[in-house]
Amino acid sequence: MTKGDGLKGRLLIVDDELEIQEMLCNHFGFLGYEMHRAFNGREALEKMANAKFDVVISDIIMPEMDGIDLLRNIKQQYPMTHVIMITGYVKLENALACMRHGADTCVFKPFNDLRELDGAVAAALNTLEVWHQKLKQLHGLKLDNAG
Amino acid sequence: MRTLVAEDGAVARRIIESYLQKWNVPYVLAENGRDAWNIIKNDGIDIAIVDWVMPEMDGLDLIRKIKGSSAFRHIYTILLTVQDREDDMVLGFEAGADDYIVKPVNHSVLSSRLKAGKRITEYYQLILRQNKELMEKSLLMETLVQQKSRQLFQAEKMSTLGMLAAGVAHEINNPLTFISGNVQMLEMFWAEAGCAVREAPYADSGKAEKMKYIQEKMPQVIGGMQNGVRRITKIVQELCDFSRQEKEKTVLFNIGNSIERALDLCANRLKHHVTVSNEMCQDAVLFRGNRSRIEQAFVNLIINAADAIEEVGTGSLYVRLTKEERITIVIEDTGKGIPQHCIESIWEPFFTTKPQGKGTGLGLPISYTIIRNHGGSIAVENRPGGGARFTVSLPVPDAPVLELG
Repeated sequence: MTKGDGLKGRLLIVDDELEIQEMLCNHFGFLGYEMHRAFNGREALEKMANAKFDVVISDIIMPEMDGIDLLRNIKQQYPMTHVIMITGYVKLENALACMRHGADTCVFKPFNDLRELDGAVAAALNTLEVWHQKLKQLHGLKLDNAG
Repeated sequence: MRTLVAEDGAVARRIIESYLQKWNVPYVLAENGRDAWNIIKNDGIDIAIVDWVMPEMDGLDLIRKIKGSSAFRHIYTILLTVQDREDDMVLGFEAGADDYIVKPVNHSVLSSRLKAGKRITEYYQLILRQNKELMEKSLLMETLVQQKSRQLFQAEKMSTLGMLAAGVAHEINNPLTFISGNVQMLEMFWAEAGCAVREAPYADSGKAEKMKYIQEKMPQVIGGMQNGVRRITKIVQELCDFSRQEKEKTVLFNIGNSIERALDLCANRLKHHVTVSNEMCQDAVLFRGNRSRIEQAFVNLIINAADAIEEVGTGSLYVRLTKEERITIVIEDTGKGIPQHCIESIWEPFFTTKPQGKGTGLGLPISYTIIRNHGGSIAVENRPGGGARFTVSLPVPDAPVLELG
């Protein structure tokens, strides 16, 4: 958990649609998260190589590297990072692929109620926080770099 | 083979007659060409034995008359002649004779010539019969081809529209997402900022008045946008439903249960103004297909009926399920009915008679597509007493298997 600066957590929004990036950044920024963004899977992985993120919210259909590929890569390289998929192309195969590759959940566009997404992010951060506390208890240490 | 003997010579006629009697050939006698022609016109003749030289009308003229008429051309003609000369023979054949016999008539020659004539006449009649059958069949095929091509055209149109709809839906969904999100944020921001905007101290009273107005009207502005977002969301959802053609798992299920489930799903839309009655087949009626899609087809038809009833106030909905050679589901309402000039158009995507903003014109085409994809059909008619009747016909599943899905 990347805390310490008063923010609730670091989020990376990955969507090839600038307007959706901005909308989600504004929304979660207002709720107190530190926001970062990328246009596709490749750019997202580049950002993740340089900084740590708690939750990645990613679209599925994108150029360069799609959301499923990104999800697979994140789960291999950064198993502690939570991934929430968002998609407008609601197909069973897509939802199954998200589930199989370890996404927290899959939220369908258009977001009729952004609170569904808020809830998913809060749950992810909550899980991270619980682990953080457990590890603290076990070692009596400050584990800012866990994961 | 009804045979005509046209011979003016009494002796020759008698001889031929005796042979025909012996061979049990039905025959008619004529003494000259004119009598023979009258008999031919009134009596169904298959073979004509015609003497060359006769009073009133000679044999060649009679044969020319027979062969010149489309009604009698099929009669097999045998010319009787005393001459056995080549040029006479040519003359006879050119007049249209099919065969000739040289007099005096020999018993076995007449027999074999008649047999040959019978054979050819039979072939001819067979060809006529087959031609007639072919004509009928080709007419039937033509009708079928027309019908099929109409259906194909409709199917092709639906599938093109389906692809277009999917593309449009996907393209609209992205902007819809950020409009919807931003509106939700606006609502949230306004909840925080609205009071401050109103209560902030303003230098002039005009400005304060304006801010008060904004604070009052903002919820309406946001509500209007949310309303629009909801409507677009519904259209996009229906476009997706309309275009969905993925191969889905089929199961054997009780179609009566599906109808009841569809009625339950629509209960909220029905409870205020519609009296529902139904008549379900006593035995479980099983159908093989995609259960949720079939239920959706029924839901759309029921909603359509509920809307039609709403336009006249209150009314009743009647659903009947029967099974004979096919499974038949009748959905009747006492609503406003369908204007006769629209009855052909109601299956067209985006066609609607509902008030602006109420219908997308996709409900019935979706039902139509679902039912057609399951090998069925839907027919619509106006009821004599007012309202509409939709009749869904579905095929009975092939082999009854014990696996209830």
